[in-house]
Amino acid sequence: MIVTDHDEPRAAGRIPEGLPADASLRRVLLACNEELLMLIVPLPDGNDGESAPNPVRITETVTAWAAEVDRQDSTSLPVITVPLYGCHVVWKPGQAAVVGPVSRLELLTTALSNFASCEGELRQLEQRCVDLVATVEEDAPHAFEFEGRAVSRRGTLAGRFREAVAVRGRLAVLAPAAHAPPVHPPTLASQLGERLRDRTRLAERHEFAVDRAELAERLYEACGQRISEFGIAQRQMALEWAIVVLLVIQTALLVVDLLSRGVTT
Amino acid sequence: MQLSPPPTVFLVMSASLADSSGKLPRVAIIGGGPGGLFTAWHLEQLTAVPLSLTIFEATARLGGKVCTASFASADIQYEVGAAELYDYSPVDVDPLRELVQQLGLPTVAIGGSAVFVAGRSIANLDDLGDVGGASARREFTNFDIRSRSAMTPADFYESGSDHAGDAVAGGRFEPALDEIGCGKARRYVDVMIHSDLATEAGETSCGYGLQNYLMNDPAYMQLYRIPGGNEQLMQAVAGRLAADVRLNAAVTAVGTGPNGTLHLQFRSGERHLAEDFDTVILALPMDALKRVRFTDTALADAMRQHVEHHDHPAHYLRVSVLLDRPVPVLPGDDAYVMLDAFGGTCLYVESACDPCATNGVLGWLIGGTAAVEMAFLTDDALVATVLDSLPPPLATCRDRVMEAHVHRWTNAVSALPGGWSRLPVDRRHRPSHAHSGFFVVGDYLYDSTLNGVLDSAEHVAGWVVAEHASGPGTMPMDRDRATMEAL
Amino acid sequence: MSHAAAPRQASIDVLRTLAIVLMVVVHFVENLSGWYDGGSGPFEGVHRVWWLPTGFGAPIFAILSGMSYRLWLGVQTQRGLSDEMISKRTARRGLFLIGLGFAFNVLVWLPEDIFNWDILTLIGVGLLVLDVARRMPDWVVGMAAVLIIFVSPAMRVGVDYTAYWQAGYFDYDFTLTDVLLGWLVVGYFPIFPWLAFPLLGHALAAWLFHGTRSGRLRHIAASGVAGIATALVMTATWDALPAVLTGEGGRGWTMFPASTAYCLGTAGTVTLMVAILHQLLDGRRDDWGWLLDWATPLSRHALSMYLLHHVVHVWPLWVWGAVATGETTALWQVAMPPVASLVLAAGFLIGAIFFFHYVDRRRIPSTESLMRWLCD
Repeated sequence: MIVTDHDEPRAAGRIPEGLPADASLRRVLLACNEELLMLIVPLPDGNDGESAPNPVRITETVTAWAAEVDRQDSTSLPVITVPLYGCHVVWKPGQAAVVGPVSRLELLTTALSNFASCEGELRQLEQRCVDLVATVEEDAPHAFEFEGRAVSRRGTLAGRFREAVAVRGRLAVLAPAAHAPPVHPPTLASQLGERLRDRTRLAERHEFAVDRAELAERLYEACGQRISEFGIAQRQMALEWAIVVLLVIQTALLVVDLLSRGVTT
Repeated sequence: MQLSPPPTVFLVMSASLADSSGKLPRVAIIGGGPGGLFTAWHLEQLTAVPLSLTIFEATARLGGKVCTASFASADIQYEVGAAELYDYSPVDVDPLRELVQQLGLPTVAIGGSAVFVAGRSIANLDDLGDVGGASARREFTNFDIRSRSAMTPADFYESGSDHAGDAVAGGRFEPALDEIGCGKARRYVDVMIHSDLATEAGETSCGYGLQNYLMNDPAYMQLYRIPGGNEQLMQAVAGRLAADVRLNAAVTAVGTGPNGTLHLQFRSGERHLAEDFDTVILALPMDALKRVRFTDTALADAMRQHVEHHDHPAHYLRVSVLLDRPVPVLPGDDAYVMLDAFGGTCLYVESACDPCATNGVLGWLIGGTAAVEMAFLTDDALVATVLDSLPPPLATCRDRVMEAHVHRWTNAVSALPGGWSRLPVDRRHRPSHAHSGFFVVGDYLYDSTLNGVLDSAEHVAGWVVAEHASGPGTMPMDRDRATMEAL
Repeated sequence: MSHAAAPRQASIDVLRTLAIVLMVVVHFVENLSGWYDGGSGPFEGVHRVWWLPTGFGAPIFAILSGMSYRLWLGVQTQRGLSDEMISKRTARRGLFLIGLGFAFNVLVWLPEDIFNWDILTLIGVGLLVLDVARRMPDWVVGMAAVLIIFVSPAMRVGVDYTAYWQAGYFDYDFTLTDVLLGWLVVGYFPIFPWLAFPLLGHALAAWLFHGTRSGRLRHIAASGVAGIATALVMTATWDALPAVLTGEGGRGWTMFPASTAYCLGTAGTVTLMVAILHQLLDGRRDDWGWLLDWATPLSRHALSMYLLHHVVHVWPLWVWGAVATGETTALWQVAMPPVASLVLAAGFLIGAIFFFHYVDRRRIPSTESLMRWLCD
C-alpha cells in the first residue's frame, strides 16, 4: 500500500520533546492519495513496553502529539490509541505514532499503512456517499415520474448514476479489507489491524457507505429508466403529433376547398 | 411469547394435557439453575395451555452457577460463576444469543490474546517466535492446523448433537497435545486452555480438548458478557416464568407414585414433604444429582448407569478482588489474560469493559487439579497466593486490594461432557425407558456450557409437551412429528 | 400583448415596444393620411423603403404572444398550477381576446366590420391553439408553423383572394362561407398564415430560454438569417415561382395578403432580433436600465395601447367626418398630410409613456389587469 516513503529529518522540529533520540518522523504516501505522517519511536528489543524507559510518558507524549498537530485533512474521528503487547500505536486520519521494539517496527508500520490506506479510501468514499445522498431527496421524484421540465437535468442525473456506480465499485473492492475476519493464530500485525478496524468501526462504516451508495444507485438507476422511457415516449409522441398536425392542415385545406367550391357555385 | 396454535390443535392438546379429572398435568423441575430455568422457560413457550409447573431449588436463590455478587465495600458487581457467555453465531444460529437479545439484555464482546508464561507475554505468533524460536512457532502452527482440520466450525457447533463428528469423541486429549514437539509451544497451549477445560488433558477427550482450544479462534466462537452481571439473564428468565418456584426446597428422593405418576420427597426447611407429579425433570449438576435417592429399583439402576457414564467431575475456584482504583488497561485492550500459575489460570479484568469504573475488579478462574488442591486453603491464603500470580502489567494491583472473595466450585462441572462415548441425545435425557415422565437436563450432557444447557432444556421441553400431546410412550421419531404438530 | 406574469425579459419588452411604435405610426399615417404600402406615385420607391418596417408590427406582436405564453407556462408550472387550471386560464384568455377583438371591430370601426379578423382575434385563436400545441414537442410546433406558411398561398389561390380585396381592404358578405374563409384565409389576419407566428414564437422561446446556452444563440440567429435570405430570394424570383408558392393577391413582399416571402422575412427578422436583443439585454438590466424604463410601461400595457391608440385617432376621425360632412368615414385617409399624422403619432407615444408610467405607479386598473382578473 505504501507508494513512497522517506524519513523526515529530526531537524524538522516536529518530533516532540522527551522522546528517545532515535525517534523519527516518516511521511508515507498512501494508496488512497493521502499522506500519513508517522512518528516512530523505537524501544530496545526484548522489552514488553512495561520496562521501557518511561513507557507511560512516551505513550502520553505521542498521544498528545497526535492530538495537537492540526492537519487540514483530519476529520472528526478522535485519536485512537491501541496498547498492543509491548507496543503502542496512536492513529488519527493523516497522522500516527508507533512505539515499539525495533524488531517490530517494520511490521507495525506496514500494518498501520495498510489500515490507513483502507480507512482513508473509505473516508473519501463516505464523503462521496454523503454528496450523493444529499441529492437523493431532490432527485427522488424523477425515479417515479420523469417530466419534460426535467430534461435539462438528464446529464446531471446520468453523472450521479455514474458516480454511484463508481462508489459502489470502490466499496466492493474495499469490502474484503473492511470485513476481514480475525486471523487465528494471530500475528502482531493482524492484531493491530483488527483493533484499528474495530476501533474505527471500519466494517460498520463500510456497510453504511454501501447502503448509501446502494440507495443512490437504485435511485439513479430508476431515474435512468424513467428518462429512457420518457425519451421513447417523447419520440413516439412527436411522431403522433406530427401526424396530427398534418391531418389538421389537410383538413383545413379540405374545408377551405369545400368553402371555395360553395362560393364558386 | 406464548405460542398460539390453531384452535383445533389447541383443543386436542387441552384434552390430552388434562387428565380425566380435569386437572392439568403437573410437571416438577428439580433445580433452579440455568437448566431448570431454561426448561421451565421452554415449557411455557412451547405448551399451548398453562402447565402446573413447579421448580424446586435447594438454595435460597435461582441461577446456579450463573451468579453475580456485589462487594461489601463498594456497590460493584463481580462474577462468582460463569464470567463469560459463548457466542456461536459466527457459525450458525445461537439460541442463547437470541434469548439474550429477546430478553433485551445488553452485551459486550470480550477477548484476550495474552498468555503469560514465565512472566513473558505471548500474545501472537511473533511473541511465540521470540520466546521459543522458529520451532515453537512451527509446532504451534502445525497443532493449530491439525486441530482445525480435525474439527471444523460446523463440527464444533454440532459437538453436542447426534450429528457430531468423530473427532469429538476420539480418545484422550493428552496425546494430541503431546504431538506438539516443542515444549514451549506445548506449555503455551496448556496454559491457554487449562482454565476452560477445568481438568487435566489426560482426564478428558480429544474432542472436548480441541473444543477448548478452538474456542480461541473467532471463526469458531466469540465471547461476550452482560454488563451489570451475567446473572441478569437468569433473573430475566425467572421473572418471566409463571411456574411455582419453591426455594430452599431440596428434593431428596424420587420414586414412582400411583397411576404412573412420579413421587417426590423433598425437604422444605425443617419439614419433610412429598408430592406426586406427572413429569419430573432433574436439572441438577452431577454432584447434586448423586445426592438424590431413587426409591424405584429400575429408576435407581438407570440413574446409576447415567451417573457412571457422565460423572467426570471438573473443578473451579473463583477468587475475586476489589481494587481501590481502576486496573491499568491491558495490552491489546484485552478483558482477560491467561497465566501459567496453577497449571493455567484465567485472570479476568472484570472492570475492563467499564470506562467509568472507579474501582478495579480482578477475577481468577483456577481450574482442574489446582482448584481441588487449593480449595482446602483458607480464603486469605488463597487470595495471597493468587495475588502473587499477577502478571507484570498488573503487578501494581497487588497493593490496592480493598476486598476479596473466594468461591469454590468443586465437582461443579464436567470434565468430559457426554462421557467417553456419546449416547443418543434422547437417551441422555431420558435415562429410563420405563419411566416416561422422568427426564434429566444438564450442561454435562452436551458441552459444559450455558449454550449446551439451553439446548438440553429445549430438547426436554419439546419432548414433554409432545408426550402429553400424543400420550406417553411415544417413540422419539413419533415425538418429533408430534412436536411439530403441536407447534 | 402582455399575457404573462412571467419574469420580464428585457429583449421581449424592447421588441414589443418597437412593435407598438410601428403599430401606432402605421395606423396613424394610414388612417389619417392614407399613406400606406399600397401607395403609388412619383415617390413610390422611397415610399416603399420607408414603409417596409411598418409591416413588422403585427408579426412581432404575434411572435411575442407565443414567446410570452411559453414563459407564462413556465411560471405557472413552477407555481404548481395543475395542467387543467393552465388549460382553463389559457382558454379564458384566448376567448377574452377573441371577444375583445369582435367588440373592438364593432366599436372602433363599424358593426359590419365585426368579422374583419383583426390581430386580437388572431392572438386569441393563437392562445387556444397553443393550449394544445404546448403538449407537442417543440420541433413539431415549428414544423406546423412552417407548414402553415407554405400551404397558405395554395389556399388563397383556391378561394380567389383578390375578390375579397378589390377596394384595398377586406370586403366580405355576411355569409357563413365568407366569415369562415375570412377567418381561415382572406381576412386581415387569417390563421393561414398568421397562426404561424404565435407557433413560431412558442417554439422560439423554448429554444431560447430552455436550451443550453452554448451555441444556441448562433443557431437561432442563423435561422433568422436563413428566413430573411429565403424571403429575399423569393421576392427577387417571385415571377418565376409556381403559383402554389406565391398564391394570389399580391406580388413579392406583401402584408395583405401575407405572402410566403413576407412571412419568412418578418419571422426571420424577428428571430434575428430576438437573438441579438437576448444577447445584448437579457440579464443586463443594469446596463440598459434607461432603455427599459421607457420600454417596459408600453410593453406591459401593449393590449391597452392597441385599444387606446385606435380610440384616440379613429373615433375623432369619425366624429370629425360626421360633423364636417355628415359622413363618418368621409375623412378616413384624407384628414391630414402624412407629416401631421406622424407628429400626432409621436405625440401620442410620448404621452402614452408618461400615462402608463402613471398607471403603473398608481396601480390603476388597465385592460391587462381586467383580463387577469377575469381569466386567472
